[in-house]
Amino acid sequence: MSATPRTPSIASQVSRRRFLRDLGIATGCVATGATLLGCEVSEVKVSGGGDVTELAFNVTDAKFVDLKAVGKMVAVNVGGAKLLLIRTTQAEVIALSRICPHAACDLSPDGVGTWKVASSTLHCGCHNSEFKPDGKYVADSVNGGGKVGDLDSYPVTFDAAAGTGIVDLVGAV
Amino acid sequence: MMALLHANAARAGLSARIAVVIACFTATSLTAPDASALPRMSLTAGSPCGTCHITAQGGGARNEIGWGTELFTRMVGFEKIGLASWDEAESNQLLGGKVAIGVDVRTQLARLGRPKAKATGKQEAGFFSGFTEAEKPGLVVIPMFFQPYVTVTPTPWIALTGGYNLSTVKLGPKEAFRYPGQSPWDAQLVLHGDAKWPQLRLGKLQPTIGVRHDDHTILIRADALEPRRPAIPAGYAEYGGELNYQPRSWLRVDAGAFMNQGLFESMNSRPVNPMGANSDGGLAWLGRVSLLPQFLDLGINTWVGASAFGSGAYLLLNGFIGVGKNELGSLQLEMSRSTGDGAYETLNMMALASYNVKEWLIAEVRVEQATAKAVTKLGARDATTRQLVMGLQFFPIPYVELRPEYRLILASDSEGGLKSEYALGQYTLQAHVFF
Repeated sequence: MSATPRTPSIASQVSRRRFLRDLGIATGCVATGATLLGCEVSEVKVSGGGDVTELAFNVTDAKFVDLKAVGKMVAVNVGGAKLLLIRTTQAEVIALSRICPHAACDLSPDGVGTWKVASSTLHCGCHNSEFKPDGKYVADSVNGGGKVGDLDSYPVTFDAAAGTGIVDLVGAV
Repeated sequence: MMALLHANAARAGLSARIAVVIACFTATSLTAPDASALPRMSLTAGSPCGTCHITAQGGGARNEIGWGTELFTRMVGFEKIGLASWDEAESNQLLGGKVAIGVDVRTQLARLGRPKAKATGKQEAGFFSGFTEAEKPGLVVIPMFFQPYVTVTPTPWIALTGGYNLSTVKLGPKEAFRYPGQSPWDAQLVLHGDAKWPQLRLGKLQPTIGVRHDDHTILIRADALEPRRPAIPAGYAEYGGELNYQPRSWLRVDAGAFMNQGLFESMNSRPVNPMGANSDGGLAWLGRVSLLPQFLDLGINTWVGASAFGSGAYLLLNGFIGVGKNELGSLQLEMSRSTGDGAYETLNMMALASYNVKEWLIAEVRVEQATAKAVTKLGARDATTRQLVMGLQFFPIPYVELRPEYRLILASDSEGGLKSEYALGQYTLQAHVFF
């Protein structure tokens, strides 16, 4: 591993200067191009969802019937939000946003989302990211090596006996 | 792995320091998939992919010519940066040329994810009409892949070649990283008696679909319903066999039959499965024809072709045209269209232009659009993703590539009367080490 000490030749010094010059040119090219395009952009637009503040559901409705069983999930679009309702226990239904913040994979039951009853986590089949019932990313799950954000969590009031509930679409955290 | 690297270092006179450098990258690159294929090199060199790669398809393990090309694709050699002994390597081959090794390591610095609406505070208008400023995804270092290859050539007409993507290995508490449909490994027996005979490949291999890029950020193999997760991922491989036949310098024909396990895994994890729910365990098939006229006096190389790949109700058609001038640049136009169950339709297009500023500095621009339609339980879904990418492929020293890019993505997704759109423009930087 030890390198042999040597005195840099004039030729190698010239090459280094040229290396740095060319590196500067290359970096400048990319920077210029990006500047012309407005540099970094991060914007969103949602339309067509209506001005809805809550979602009422009943597990006897065909649309929500899967929520009768623990571990089952239902995907729904409402009020500008793409939601995932999950029956985590007999007494609880939770509501999370269903687009994984890592790579935008759809966590609906028809997509790549799976509720793991044993660990009580939502698993994304794209890159194995996992989320707790409150939407928080589980830090030691594998996700392509990078940090992943949290899912939005919506407050749910659920009456297990009646099988009815209300999702508060305004109070997302 | 280290033993193999050191064995090669000793045999080829290669400094063990290269093995150490690769090992260092290994330590930070133990997740994620991809291989490495640069189709523009064929157009600007006037040689088919099989000139530098073990298989006619291109991508994956490189032969001695490919290895030598890498060695001399650099702004400065090792000797110019005080590492003259590193230039002593003579080959990537061992045991009198009967064994060749290689490795691809890739890491990326990028914003990971998609813009997220600001939950609180004033909503500010964005640059694009009707958009509002959103939270930027976090900037992270993404280890993309680490894949060693081994090729054994007991006779000139037989080669056994394969690689294992160590990123898919479960390490301690971390689960393995793998796209649905991506295989952790590929291995194939390649039979090629003479140039006038077809090349037969048997084993677990990637069908020759369209043009192989091995880049999951390119949309041509994507599905706009989930644009960051390719429908046919890099590292996709199936058990099966394929014939690659080039009876004339300007004509190539490919045909293959495969199991559909990987394809089903990818498709069945999507919002709709275009193959049909009961298509697991069936066969997939491939047909591909390409014309490769060259105008040698002008130094111009071209290709035009089409492929069809299908299984069950799923059919994927690819069309591609490419033109390049030796050591100057290239232009590639590609389209793909797929159909299947669930009223599933995709139509993707790409234009990619490259310009050789220097042998070691390539400027590249690509414009892409992917559209997809399907009917899900929530209703009709219609998604479009457009992408503009400008970047450089910079080879400062042998075996190293730096790829700074600017990417602008505009995506829209309509489902059940709800339409969500986002715009994300960002700088990214990829670093490749390959041997």
